[in-house]
Amino acid sequence: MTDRILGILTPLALVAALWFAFIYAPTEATMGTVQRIFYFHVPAGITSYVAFIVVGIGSLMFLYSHDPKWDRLAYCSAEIGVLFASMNITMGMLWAKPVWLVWWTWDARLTLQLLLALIFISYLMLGAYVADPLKRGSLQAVVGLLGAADVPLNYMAIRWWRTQHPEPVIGGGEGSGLDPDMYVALGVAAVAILLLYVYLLRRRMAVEASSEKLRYLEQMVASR
Amino acid sequence: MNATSLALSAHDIGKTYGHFPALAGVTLDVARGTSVTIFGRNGAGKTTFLKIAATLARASSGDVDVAGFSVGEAPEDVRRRIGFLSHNTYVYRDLTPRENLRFFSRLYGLDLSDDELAERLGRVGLGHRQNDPVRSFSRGLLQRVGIARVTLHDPEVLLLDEPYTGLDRGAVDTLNMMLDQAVEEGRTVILTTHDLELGLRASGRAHIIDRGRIVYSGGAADLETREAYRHFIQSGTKP
Amino acid sequence: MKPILTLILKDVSIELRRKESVAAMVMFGILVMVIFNFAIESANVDPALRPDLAPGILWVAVSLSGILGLNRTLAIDLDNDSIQGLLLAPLSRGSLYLGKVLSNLLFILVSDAIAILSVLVFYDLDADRRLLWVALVVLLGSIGFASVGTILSMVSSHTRMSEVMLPVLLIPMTIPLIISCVAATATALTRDAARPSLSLIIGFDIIFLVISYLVFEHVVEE
Repeated sequence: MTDRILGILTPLALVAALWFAFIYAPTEATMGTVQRIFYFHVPAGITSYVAFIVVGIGSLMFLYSHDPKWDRLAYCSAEIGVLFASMNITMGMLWAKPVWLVWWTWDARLTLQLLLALIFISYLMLGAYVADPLKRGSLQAVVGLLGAADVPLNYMAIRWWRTQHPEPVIGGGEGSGLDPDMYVALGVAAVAILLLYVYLLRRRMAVEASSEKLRYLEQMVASR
Repeated sequence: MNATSLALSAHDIGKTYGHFPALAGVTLDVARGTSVTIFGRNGAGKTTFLKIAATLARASSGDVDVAGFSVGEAPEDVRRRIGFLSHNTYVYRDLTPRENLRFFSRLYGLDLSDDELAERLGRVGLGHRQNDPVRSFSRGLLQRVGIARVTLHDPEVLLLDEPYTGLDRGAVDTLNMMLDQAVEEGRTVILTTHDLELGLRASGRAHIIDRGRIVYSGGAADLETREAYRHFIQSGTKP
Repeated sequence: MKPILTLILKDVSIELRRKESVAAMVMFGILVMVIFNFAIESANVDPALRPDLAPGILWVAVSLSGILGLNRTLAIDLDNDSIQGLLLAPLSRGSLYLGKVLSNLLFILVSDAIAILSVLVFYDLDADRRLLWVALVVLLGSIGFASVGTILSMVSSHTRMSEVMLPVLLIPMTIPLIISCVAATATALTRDAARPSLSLIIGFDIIFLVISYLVFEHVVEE
């Protein structure tokens, strides 16, 4: 039931976000139309961090309770988190090129996203390559937890490093003002993207639960 | 919680990995000073059970006390009193048997002198090879180093997981000699295997695990036991 | 405490007999620096500025040879499944973890010492009191590296491509450490009297040592 509601709300919210981003929001003075990527770039980034926090919580709870639903939550959130981190990075690059004429500047936020994506990917690779499927949950949970501790440290390190060596900031510096209408558009888009995350997460978890059940049944048949 | 007549007391032990129930409620008592064999097909759960008793794995539910201590609450006390051996001997191949034993004796807080270590190695017939690196040893000699290691700290309970796997006649005899001596010394021996004759040879009781549960318990010498073995283990795939 | 020393002594004895790990680490560290020299040549860096490259290159060499070392020391305990022997000892899982971290740290520090000497030579740096600061940064950084590296090498050992899995997991995880160490080393080597900023490095060390100590049992038990 929840999924059905989400399944209708999410595309509606996304369409609304598109309208707000492309029609409602005023055109930015210096960067022009290209700046509108901002309305999806930032929420994608925020969502990737939310996804990562969920991976951290799932990992911790799994280590505590060994209930497979926590492992499933962490794993699925990681898959979707990579998606949003990649979207954020790609959009960042698409924005950077016309505005600053370079694809990449090791900007603090983009670098953080890249590192987050790398940690996600290494987490998923571990899951794929573990030889004994019975151990997979615990091992991923440990890495998920370590990764969750790492991200704030990454944030501090890169922030500090970038204040030593400033470079053009993609996505607007701390002081850049936004028109109130822009905040509205950003808010709508953020809600839409977060809804998308929740919807995808629920669907992915349902699929994963079925896969696990199937694997278990296959094993039962094979061992007879 | 020390004075008890049970070497092992397991109550409703469950172990699930995700959906997969490796153990689905094992309840078992082993009296001190007895010798017990647990039979089971591959994947039945006997290794899992033994590993939980040895604190190498954690049960998902239920509890087990070994040598009077709970594996969940006092694992180190349990480990101090048990010896675990499988077909792997867990010794360092770059060190000599003497260095291996010296290492383990320090790890267990024993601090045996060189003479005492030499004597232990002599007991398993390795006195003449005590200073050769283990890397050069045959399977049989490796097994003997393993036996010396597992009995080093005079454990009350010996847990052996399929110890006969891959052993030749001579090594089997050496192992059996060690087990007989252990029983004589009043230790408890819990053995898993799927070989009927070796399993029944020196044991008092036999149990059969199938699909994570104990499905049979009886005396090793009983005819019933052999029939149960035939039924559960040799029957192959059921229709 | 005594069991931990016993564990370290065991790793040292085996390494002295095998003579594999430390030699390989040292050699690898030097080779990395040599490669870097040729890689940088094409950038035509002003010779006066070359010493500025030293901190970065030092830490690349230290990280990569550290990964090599971690894999080698783990192999000692995986051979013949010897780690099970350790898991059966009346020792807590956390103590086992600490013993392994200290062994790894020891080997990494030996390799680091040679790496520092190499950097001094290759980049013609003065060997004066500032070197003590560099040594401190290297020590603190290596502690962090060894603490995460030990638990992740244990995690990687359960995968099919264990030796490759370790850098895949370890490098992203240690980026904040490397950034801070490179910066601190650079500060230590400049001519003015600025003290390098060590707080992030120390924070990293403490956080990862504590977390790894607490969760190690989940990696080694079933």
